[in-house]
Amino acid sequence: MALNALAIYKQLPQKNCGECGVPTCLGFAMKLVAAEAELSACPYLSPEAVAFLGASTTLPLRKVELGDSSAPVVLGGEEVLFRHEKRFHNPSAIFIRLTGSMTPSQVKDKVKTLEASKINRAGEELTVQGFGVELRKPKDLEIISALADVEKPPLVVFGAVDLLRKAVGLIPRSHRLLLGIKSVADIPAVAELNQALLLPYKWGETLRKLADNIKMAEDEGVKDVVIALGEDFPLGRTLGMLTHLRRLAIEMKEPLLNRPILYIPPQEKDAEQSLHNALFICRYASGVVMDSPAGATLAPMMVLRSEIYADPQKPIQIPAGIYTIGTPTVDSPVLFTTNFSLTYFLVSGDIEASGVPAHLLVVDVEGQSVLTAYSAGKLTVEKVTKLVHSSGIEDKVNHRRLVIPGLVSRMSGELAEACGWEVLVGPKDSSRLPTFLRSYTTRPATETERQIAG
Amino acid sequence: MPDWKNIIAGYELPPTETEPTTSVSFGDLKLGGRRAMPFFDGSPLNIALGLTILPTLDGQPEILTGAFCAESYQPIDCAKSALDSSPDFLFLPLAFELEEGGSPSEDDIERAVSLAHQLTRLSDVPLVVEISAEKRLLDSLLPAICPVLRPGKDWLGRAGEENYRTYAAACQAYDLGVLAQSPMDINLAKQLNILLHNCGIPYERILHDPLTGGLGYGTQYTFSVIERLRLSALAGDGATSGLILINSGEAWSGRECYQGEGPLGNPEERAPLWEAETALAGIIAGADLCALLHPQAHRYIRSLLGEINSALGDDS
Repeated sequence: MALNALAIYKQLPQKNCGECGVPTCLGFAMKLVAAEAELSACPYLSPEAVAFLGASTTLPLRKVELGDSSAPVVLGGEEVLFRHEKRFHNPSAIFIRLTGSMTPSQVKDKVKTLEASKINRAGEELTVQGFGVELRKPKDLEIISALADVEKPPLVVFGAVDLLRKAVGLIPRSHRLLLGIKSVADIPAVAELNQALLLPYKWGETLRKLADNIKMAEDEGVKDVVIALGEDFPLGRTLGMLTHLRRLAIEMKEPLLNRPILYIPPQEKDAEQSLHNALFICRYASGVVMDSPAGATLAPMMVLRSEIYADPQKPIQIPAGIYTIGTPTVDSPVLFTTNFSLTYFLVSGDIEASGVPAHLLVVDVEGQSVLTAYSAGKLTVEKVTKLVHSSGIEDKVNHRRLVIPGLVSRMSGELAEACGWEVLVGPKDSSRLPTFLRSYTTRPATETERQIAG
Repeated sequence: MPDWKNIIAGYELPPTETEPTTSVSFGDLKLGGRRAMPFFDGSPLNIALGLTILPTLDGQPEILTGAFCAESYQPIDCAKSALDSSPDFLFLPLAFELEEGGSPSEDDIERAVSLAHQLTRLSDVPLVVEISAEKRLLDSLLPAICPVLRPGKDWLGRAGEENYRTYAAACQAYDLGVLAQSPMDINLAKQLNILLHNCGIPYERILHDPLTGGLGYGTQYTFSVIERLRLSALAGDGATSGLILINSGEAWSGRECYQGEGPLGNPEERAPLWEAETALAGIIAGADLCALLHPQAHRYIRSLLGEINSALGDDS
């Protein structure tokens, strides 16, 4: 993005009407810079301003929205090659492929399996985005109807034009499909259906040919084009091609080849497919296709995806409060740590490994680790005291003894005084928590610990 | 095979002038010497895949121990069967974690040294030894272990900010490469390399592990730190141009790797993939070596690299 927020603001109507969804024009300008808003959201722009801003606020990799317009699945819309330069915006969508010869009840079973493989991690729900259906014969349209029945209409549909037309007729109008054609000869007929177009790109075809095809689709009135590739490509070349296309979009601002890419793997073993898709999640596919909805092969991909698409400028945080590990009682130990997700995961994991149920207080330090937060003055006696008094932990336990991270043993005296609890210094490294906690339950605080605790 | 140049004709990218990363002899392999980020030019991925030999299976999850001869575990037998799958190196983590103030018994040290010694005699592949111990223990450990390692071939660490001088001196005296480790931060990684370099260690004798975060436990940091180290090296910074190692065995420190059922699916099937995809993220970001723990994860990555490379390097 070439312009800063102020330069964009100067071109905006500056009436702070809020119709774009942001209360002020300056706020809207800042969202444009962060690629969190689209220029078209402002209804009062002059044509000159649109022309001036259009070029600099359009994302180098175009964006395509699928599914329900109120909560669309977004493909593309990226502006950097490396996540540390800014961030990746729209996580690679995962589509489960359903092929013909499935009965409606088998389809519904697949939907159920999929529901069961949703993962909840520290407040984030990891899931696949939906289904891709391959229509080989008219009977396969039953799959579309079955999905529409359970309110999971597919997002991608492949097939001959007459079948695609029927499929579009079976789903709600507010739902946008990505239509996969077999041949570019189908472009004019599919353009009439007013959906997004999935354009096949075959291994060996020149990029010139691909650009011509995209141009043809645009001339027929198709606004949204996604490139499909994979099945017939050698793996190394697919990675090379995705990288080449992403660089053409970002570095060269190529106006035709800057489309999101859907990687379609060949049918193969679940584990291999998971590995292949993991590669393309890291290297530039805006969407990938999986045959199996099984958790074992989906979970690693989905967790990897949330890592790669996390905003590197924002530390990953979890909400402050009381977390229970196991089923703690009124006598169980109380520990505290900070709200940096990794810190929390490690500490809670190590407490779990100890087999000792416990209450874990999580202090909000804006997502920093214990030592960083302490050094930065964000982990303070006041904050911990406030959490101890306001979290309700005092009603949950009979004792008044707090285990603090060994790295901040220095705050023990002051903390004991401020919050009125006995303070027990825990290990410096959370990997020692199992040993520590196993002996905790049976032993009283040692003399030294009592002295430290004052 | 269609001609790549013909495919992209008219859509070439402008050439970028880059400094290649340092080229290093590692056993029989030549590593490093990259001229671009992975897949940015058409060159094949030149990655050394190693297998980790655990001195003991104590405290390891069952899914992992089940992959080894768990009945009466002998690390040396495990190494023998590991060598059947032709790893490019062996990785030996030696942990001396003691209660505060304690010191390891002479037996402990002797067992560790003897294991390292046996591994060096088992095959010609390089051995990378990673010691985790307090600084004060190194004075008794290093003189014992250095003489059994092979000069010019094996690597020893992990050198960190607090003990790099000790390692630099020992590795220089015995002509060993230095395994350095920094905590997921490009500046700290670069600084540690410079400190070692100032002690007389050439950059091509430093193997840097920027700390591997398993999936869900910091892969994003590992990924970006490696990408940044690589980009910095390609822009001509010698201090970041050495070899990078990732340790995908770290994937097992997160319980989601191998525990639980339900949404996470069958753990036997999931765990090796969890590790393999941790490894894969590091490799895509630009690591040169990867130490793997689960034999199946090793098979996955080896076959994946074979598949990727089979179509590369023939016409670019």
